[in-house]
Parts: sequence; structure tokens; C-alpha cells
Amino acid sequence: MAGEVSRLIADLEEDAALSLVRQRLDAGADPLSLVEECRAGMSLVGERYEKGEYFLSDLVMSAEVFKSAIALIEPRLRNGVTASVIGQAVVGTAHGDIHDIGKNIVVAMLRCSGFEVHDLGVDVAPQAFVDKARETGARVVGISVLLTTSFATLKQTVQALRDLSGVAVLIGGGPVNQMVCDHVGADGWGKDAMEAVGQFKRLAGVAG
Amino acid sequence: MSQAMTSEERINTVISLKEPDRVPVALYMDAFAAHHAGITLAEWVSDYEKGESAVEKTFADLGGCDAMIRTGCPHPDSYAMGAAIRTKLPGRDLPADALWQYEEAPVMTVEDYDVIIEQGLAAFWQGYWPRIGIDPANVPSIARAVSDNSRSGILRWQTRGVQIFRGGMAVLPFDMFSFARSINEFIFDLYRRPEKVLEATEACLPDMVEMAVRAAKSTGAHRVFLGATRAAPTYISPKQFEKFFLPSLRWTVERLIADGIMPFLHFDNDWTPFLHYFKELPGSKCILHLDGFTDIFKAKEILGSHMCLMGDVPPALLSIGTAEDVTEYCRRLIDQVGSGGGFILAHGCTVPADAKFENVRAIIEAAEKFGRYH
Repeated sequence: MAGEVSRLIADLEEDAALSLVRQRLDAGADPLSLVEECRAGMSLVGERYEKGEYFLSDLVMSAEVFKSAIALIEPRLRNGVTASVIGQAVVGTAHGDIHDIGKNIVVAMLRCSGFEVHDLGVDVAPQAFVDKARETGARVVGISVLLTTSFATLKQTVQALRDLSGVAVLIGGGPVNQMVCDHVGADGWGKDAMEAVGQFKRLAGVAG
Repeated sequence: MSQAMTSEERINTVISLKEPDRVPVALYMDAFAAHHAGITLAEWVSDYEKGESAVEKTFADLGGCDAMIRTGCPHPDSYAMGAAIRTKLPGRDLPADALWQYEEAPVMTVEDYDVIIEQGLAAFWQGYWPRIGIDPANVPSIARAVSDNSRSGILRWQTRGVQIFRGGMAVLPFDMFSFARSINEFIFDLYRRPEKVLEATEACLPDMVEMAVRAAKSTGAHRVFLGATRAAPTYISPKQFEKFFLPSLRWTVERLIADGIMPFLHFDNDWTPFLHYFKELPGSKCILHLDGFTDIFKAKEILGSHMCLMGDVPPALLSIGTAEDVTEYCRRLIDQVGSGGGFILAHGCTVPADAKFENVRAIIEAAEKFGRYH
């Protein structure tokens, strides 16, 4: 699966990757297998990140190239045929907090991994997380927080989500550590975007 | 040492990496001081004298410390102007007691790099201010208020011996672009138009540093606060750091030192994998303030014989930990990072708005109890 498109995405060669995708589509390539090639490229990016060869900026850039590639491919997918989704995820920044850098990176990486992500944005009320989780049937909700002053609303949100059976809650963000995770009663926390994606997969019960 | 040192002597001693009589303590209290003194954050950002009184009361109730980074907020727009980013303020865009927050969006465009390169920083600001909600016509009066308030506040504190670290401030172009372009767009720029970013960096750096030097000289605190967070290894690769950030950091630090100004490096984020680069900066001349995310114990190993370290009780510990937790952590800091001098005991970044009073007091008490060298 790791063909030339995969390699160009993994090497962050934006222009070359996108023009090859266009070329392949014009030559009648199967859109679904192109999506898979793009995902294979993102897996390579993930591996390089794990090995310490890539850094967050490389992840962000790769997610951008991936997004543009998918935007080229999507119109060619036949009606009703969509790229396979491995799970649903609800993500947002805690009530009272408008920081979204970390959250946006996690959202991008989750999408690259095949999750359908419902991004509620920033300053999200506890009930909005509950409503969205119920509506989508997502098994994992991720909450981002930077301000210590939002720990209280984070805790309320986690508690509100406890009423939904089978929904796990992940937290992440600057000040988050095991102490904060215990304090708010979450099911787990991630120290960076890749770890968060791994936790989402684990809690959603999909293969890593 | 028979006689107690003054705070100034203590700070100067640790900057030169020697042992003072005891570990000095520095605090940066803004929203925490407002809460403690019972004023709203809307009052904090808009009324300099009320803010100063709040710091005064909090300082006295805590029992004092050797240094503060900064005291009252000199003007409500100083947050937006300092970081070149649209800011939501309490009492204006948010409830009166909500924390101010940055509203990051790609306000600066790709074309703005050319404005900076071809027409200079002043021309860029002129077109940029309205886009973050500041009327350029008001800029001179804002600058005057910031300068007058900072000068009078700094004079008041320094006259009574309390050292202030932020005589002037600068954000290096890398962080400024990252805020103004928004972090994602700026990261794309590093891949799509690296030469443009470098050219714009070189074009605006001297002016930015010049302004900070002038401010530090006019306020009488010959120290410049250099705030950085976006060039940390959390975000970028070593190659990107070496190419886009390190040269301007080195240039700025050397330029400040040449002018007799102490660079105060307020570096938020986890810099651990990049700590070795700081050895390239002049030795025994700077303070590196870490915020609890960098491994400060590792920093001592790598930089202990090169640069004074300051920090780093983590914000979460001050908000939801106990005073005993804080004492225990401070004791470890003093024993290990304070060993042989070159250390200022402090919290990370600023004292959080919801820190427990007894937890902040525990920092000061720990220095008294465990921090004596002689």
C-alpha cells in the first residue's frame, strides 16, 4: 500500500503529493485505494514521530497535506461510498477555556487515523458534550483544557458524561497530568497528540 | 556571611551562579493578586492603581519576596499589543471576573511578510492594529500609559528593594508571527515559504529589541523580559529551531547584554530536549524561568554551570495540591536545583488565578526554612 503517494505525504512534499493525486485520479485510479494510500502515508508519519524523527510541526503539516489530498479525492467517490470510518469521537475544549491549539491537532490526527470527529469547538458547556455523545453514539469523548480555572467545569463535564453508559472520557492539555486526571475522574489522559490518538483507539476498542 | 543580603545582592549573586545567603524567591502575581485583594479582573486590567494596591496587599499578606516579574497591568490593551493577538478582556468581552484570553486567528497574512520586509515594522503595525481591535490613533497614548505606569510602579518597588524583572519586554519574531498568523498557518509557512519567514525575521528583530531596550532604560529596571513558547520542541524540530529561532535569540541576548541589560528568559512549555542550545548564550548573564513543563532538574544538570534557573512549582500543584505538596516540591527544588547557587525559587509562568493562598505562602516559607546557604 505504501506507494509513491504514501511516500510523498510521509516526506511532507505537499506540491508533489497533491499533483500526483490529481494525476492518478485523472488516469482513473480507484479513489478508495487512493484514500488508503494517503492513510498509509500518515501511518509512516506516525511511525517517524514515534521514533523521534518527526516533531509536532511535521504532524501538523502532514495532516494539512492529507486533508488537501482527501479534498481532491472525495468528489470522485461514488455516492454513498465513503472512506471507512473506524469510530466516532467527540472533542472540545472545556467550558470557560478558549484555547484550541492542542485540541485542533488532536482532531486533525484523529481524522487522519480514520475517526469521524465531532469537534464542538472551544468553551463547550458540559451538556453539549453529553448531547453530542448521545446523538452520535461516540464511545470516547476528549476534553482539552489549558486553564487551571476550568478544572471545576471539566470535573462537572466528566461527571455529566458518567450518566451515559459505555462512554469513556479522555482529557489533555498543558497542565494535565495523572493528578488532574484523578481529580476530575477521567478515564485517561494523553501527554501529546499521538498518545491521545492511541488512547482514543484503546478506549474505542479499535485496533491500534 | 554574618549580614543578610539585600534582595538585589541575592539576585545578582545567583545570576553570577554563586551562593547567596539564602535562595531568593520571585513571584508573578496578576489574577491571583486581584482575587486575593477582592477586586474583579475587569478592574485589574483597567485600573492600574487598583491593581498595584492588590499586589501590595497580597505581597504584604504573603510576607514579601525578593523579586516580582511584573506588578499591575499598565493598560488593558497591553495584552493584545504585547503578543500581537486579539484578546478577550474581562468587563469588555467577558464577564467581569473571567480571565483574559487570547483569541488566536490568522490575522496576519502571507502578504504581511512582504510589508515587514519592504516597508518595515512600523508600517506593518499601522495596518495591523485595527485588525486586532486597536485604533492606531490611540497607540501613542497607550504606549505613554504603559511607559508611565510601568516606570512609576517599578520605581516604587525597586526603591523599597524589591527587584522587578520586566523593565521592558520583547517577543521574538518567531513567537510574534506564530501568534499573529496562528500556530497552524505559521507552521505551514515554515514549510511553504521558509525564506520569507527568515527575511521578515531579520527585517523586524532589531526594531523589536530596540524598543525593549528603550523601555528598560526608561523604567530604570535594566532587565528585559523575553517571553517564548512557540519555538519549543513541543512544536518544532531541532532543525527548525536552529534555523528560525536560535539565531534571533542569540542575537537578542548578546545585544541586551552589550547594553548592560539582563535578559530574563520567560520560557513556557517543555524545552527539555533543547536545553543544550542555551549553552550557546553568554554564561552567567541571564535568568531562565521555566514553567513546570521543562524538567528543571535536567536543566540543572545541563545548564547549572552556565545560567541561573528560576522556577518552577507547577500551576496545577498551586491550584489543587496541598501546602504540604508544595513544601515538599520546593524542598526538592532547593536541594537539587539550588545546590551551589544559581537558582531562584518560583512558580511556573504566573501564579494561577485560583491558586490557594497557603500554597503560594508555602513557596516563600520553604525558602526561609530550607534555603539557607550559610
